[in-house]
Amino acid sequence: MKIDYVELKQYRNFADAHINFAKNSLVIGSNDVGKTNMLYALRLLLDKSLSEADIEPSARDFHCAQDGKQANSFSIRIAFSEVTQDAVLSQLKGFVSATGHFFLEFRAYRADHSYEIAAGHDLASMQVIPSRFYLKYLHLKYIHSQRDLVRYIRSEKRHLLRLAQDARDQVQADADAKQLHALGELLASVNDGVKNLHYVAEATKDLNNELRALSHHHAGYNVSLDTGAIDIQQFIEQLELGASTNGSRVMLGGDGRNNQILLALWKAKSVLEHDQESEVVIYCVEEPEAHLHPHQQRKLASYLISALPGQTIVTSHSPQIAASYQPNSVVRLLRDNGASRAASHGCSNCINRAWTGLGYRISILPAEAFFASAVMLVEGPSEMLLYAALARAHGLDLDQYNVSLLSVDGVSFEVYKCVLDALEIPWSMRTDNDISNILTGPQGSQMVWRHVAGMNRALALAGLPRQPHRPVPYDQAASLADGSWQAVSAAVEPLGIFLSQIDLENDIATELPTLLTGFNGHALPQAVAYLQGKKAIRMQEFIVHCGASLRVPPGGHLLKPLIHCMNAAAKA
Amino acid sequence: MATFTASVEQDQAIQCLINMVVVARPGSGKTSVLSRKVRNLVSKLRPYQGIIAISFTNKASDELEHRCKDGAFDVKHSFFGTIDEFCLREIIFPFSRQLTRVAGEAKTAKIIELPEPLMRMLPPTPIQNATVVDTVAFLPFLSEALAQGYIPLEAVGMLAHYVINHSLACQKYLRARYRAVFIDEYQDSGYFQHQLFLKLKDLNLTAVAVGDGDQSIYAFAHKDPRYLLRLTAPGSGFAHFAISTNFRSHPSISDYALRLLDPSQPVAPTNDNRVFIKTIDGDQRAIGAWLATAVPHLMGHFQVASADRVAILCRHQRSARLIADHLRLAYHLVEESPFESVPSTEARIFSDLLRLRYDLQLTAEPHIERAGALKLSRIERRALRQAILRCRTCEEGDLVSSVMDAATRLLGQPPPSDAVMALVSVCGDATKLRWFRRPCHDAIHIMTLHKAKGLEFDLVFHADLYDHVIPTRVYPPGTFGQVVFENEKQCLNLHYVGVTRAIKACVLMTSTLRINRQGEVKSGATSQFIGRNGASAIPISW
Repeated sequence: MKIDYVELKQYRNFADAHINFAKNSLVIGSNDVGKTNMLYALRLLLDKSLSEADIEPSARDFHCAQDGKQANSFSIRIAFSEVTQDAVLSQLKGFVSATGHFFLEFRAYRADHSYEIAAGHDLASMQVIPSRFYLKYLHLKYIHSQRDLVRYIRSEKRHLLRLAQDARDQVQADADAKQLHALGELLASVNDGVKNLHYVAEATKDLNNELRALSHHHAGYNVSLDTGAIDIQQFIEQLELGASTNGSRVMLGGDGRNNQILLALWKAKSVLEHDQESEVVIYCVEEPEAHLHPHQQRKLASYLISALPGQTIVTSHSPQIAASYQPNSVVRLLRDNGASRAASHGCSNCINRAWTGLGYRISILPAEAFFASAVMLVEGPSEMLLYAALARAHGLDLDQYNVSLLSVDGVSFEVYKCVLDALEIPWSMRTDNDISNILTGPQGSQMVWRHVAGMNRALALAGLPRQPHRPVPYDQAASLADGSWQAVSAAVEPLGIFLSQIDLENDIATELPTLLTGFNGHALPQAVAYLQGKKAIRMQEFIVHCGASLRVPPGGHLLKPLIHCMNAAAKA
Repeated sequence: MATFTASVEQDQAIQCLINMVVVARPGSGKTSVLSRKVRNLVSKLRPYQGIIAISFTNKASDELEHRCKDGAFDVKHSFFGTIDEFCLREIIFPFSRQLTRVAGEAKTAKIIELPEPLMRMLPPTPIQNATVVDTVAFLPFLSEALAQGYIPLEAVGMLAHYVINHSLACQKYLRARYRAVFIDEYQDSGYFQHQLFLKLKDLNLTAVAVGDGDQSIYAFAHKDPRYLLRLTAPGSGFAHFAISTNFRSHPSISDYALRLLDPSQPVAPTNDNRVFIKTIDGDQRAIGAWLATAVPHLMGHFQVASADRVAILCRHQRSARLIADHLRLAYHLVEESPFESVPSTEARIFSDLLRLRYDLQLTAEPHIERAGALKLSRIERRALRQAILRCRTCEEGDLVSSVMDAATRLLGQPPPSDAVMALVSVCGDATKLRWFRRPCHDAIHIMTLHKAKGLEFDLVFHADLYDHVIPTRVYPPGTFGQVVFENEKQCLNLHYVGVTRAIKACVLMTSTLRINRQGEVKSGATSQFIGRNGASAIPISW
């Protein structure tokens, strides 16, 4: 059983949002975009730990539109599918369709702050139900972003002990009973010993004398300090979580380790309690990365999603966590005209086969792009270095605008475009005007043509028809001379696709001739060739060589993709 | 429960875990075996699972449920109730709306209570004769009824069968929730109950039928023992068990009853025969007069603790009435509801409210729940509860208005005027109101044999043992001068059921005269069943 989607209408900062979920989903989005509100909407219907009083709507639950008008009602709808668990089927009599679908809806009204819950097998036949009776076998476990290990241990200690008790075999249980008895006697002797300490015994002597003086009634009455009847059970209740390294006791860890301990405990308890045959649990974890080292964050994400026995929904601000997710499991919340919604309705099916081939490259860098307001895609490391330097030199603060530079390591822009479009993250890109030989025709009588690869790449990404092969000879200069380059550029630039005139190094020569001339003692053509060899290393040398004078013409081709990206980010 | 020790044949039936049919004679500990089987099975189930236990009457169902729950045993999500309740609650209400349009608040109604245009949609086949293949012809009528918010009571079985067959969701639900189905009194199965039972077996529920063909007495209501016989036939897919020892009745009563059925039934010689026969000079009125002295005398002789352990069983309600009127002892006459003429929904609500008035153990809660009032706000609920409880606390003079008020709230609309007139007449009649009181311990039960099914009494007086009555006769053309019985087996079964209700003693009652249906006094020829197969009863001479 899984949540297919949730629909939020006029709830808090959602005006009308449809959010799909995958088996394991990652929810991302800037601060205050409504990640916690979205989870709270799920919790209203599914979290056992929220009481009847907790789920009563309050004034701030009703969405306020940009014009200041507040909605009169809100609704939260959850669609489930694959309802096959017997316990759930048994409990949801008549509410599960033949195809295993089930819907829940929470409706609230501002006039009297009343609410009702409805269930149904399809949206046309929702029936109001008296309570969240389904919670016994279908619910959600939520772990808050502000986690307090000490408090958690205090509330869960007894629970943990009981679970461990139940898990013992008979031999262990018998041994424990014997040991407990022995400990109990030991404790009794400790109690006696303490009572007999001289100063403990004497402490109340005066008090007893006074009491006797006060009234004869107190003659046989004796007040004394003692340990109380501390018995072994109370003693165990007082156990506290301690830690030791290599056998010697240490203080419990810092925030990061405490976070890990808590999540580990929570997971262990959840797995122990979760009876997969007879109940459905959906796990929600907010920002599991708190205080953790990057590697630990990465480990934590895979640990949580692989080990928890149900659907998981994780919110995060960490690229390390995001790197564990496929892009079709990502829900990116964004703000649109004052209301939040999910990009492409969340968990969009944006992965084509190319992504799978690219799988090994999914790393921290592309993952970071999920969190960007806009992304500039380039072919390789030389561009990365140059554009970072250009931005610095022109006072464009990429981090402030939440812009990421991303190298596609080659020319597979299409894969990234799909993902970024699905996440509704604006992007721009720059690619070389590659032109190469190509053989066509039947075997034996093949002809050589010139393939305008760069232009066709740009046109394909823009969704425009490709250009035919050209007769030999044809090169970049020819494409500029016959107007092809200008025509293609004009068509694709509005979409943020920028075509180099020749390649990066030649374009630098065009726009920064003075800086490149004399670079490493070369004349201009030799400098271009030098820069083209050992790309990234020599580009770095060039950037150092330029220093603060790395200024290109403001309307020039080099700067265009970056400006496009910055403008898009500013609008987001 | 703790005191029940199973006999060998009982134990075999309890231990068997596959689909089975148990033929259980009267007094053979059927309910004990059933409850033991249920408990064994339920204890192995997960908390959300349960079993289906279907009984013929609410009373039998309550008894089984009570025995299963004895000692705070957790029956988990089991269902106890009648077949109609099961069909409505577990199949029709929750799943019919997945197949067809159903008006928001569907309620059950007899076909004759339906609006005229709806009734005209009925196909020519009478619904009581309809089979699965006829369902298609009934579908337009059924779906229109549902769309208008009616579930025709007579079609509940057909509708349930249709829903279970066509709703995959319903099948999944039943499979997920229920592991076994038990149906008691299978000899009185209707056609669709039998089909439903087989369907549940197909859904992999362990199917257990319990019955006794010799106790089949409802053929007139289209219940047929042949469905039980099909299960007991070889190759039916059901293991066949018989539990036959009668632990209820005195051996002489048991022997007498069995000899009625089977001429080769051995009868143990005894000098303590507990089956008596008394022939009265006069008609049923004289029987009443004789019983006034005979009942206390025999109660003393057989050490019967209280009068409610004594029953007078009759073939017809009018005999019961006649005997009651001349009994001059405290009695409780089981009668048809005074609201017989009122539409079923209103009749049930009126009866419930009046019962609540006289029985302090009843609460308003079930009525609030049944009315779907869980959706009400707290204030509305409180008002409804107060209105219902006012039926208990109000003065006699305000009874009509209190019941009307509560019924209006429960129905969501005022009851129709003919129902109101019936209510006014019942509330103004102390004898009719008595029907709603709980019978007290010192009242003799007087009822028809059909109503006595499943009950037991220390002392039974079996009346109406006349020719033409038990058994009844028919006169087909060209049979002048011959004796032709009408459905002799059913009549014999009825007599068998009557005799086997007795624990300590059974008195067969005849008289020289009898008052017939038309109120005429006729000669009271003795029933052909007296002395059948040489069964002998001791005449009472005093």
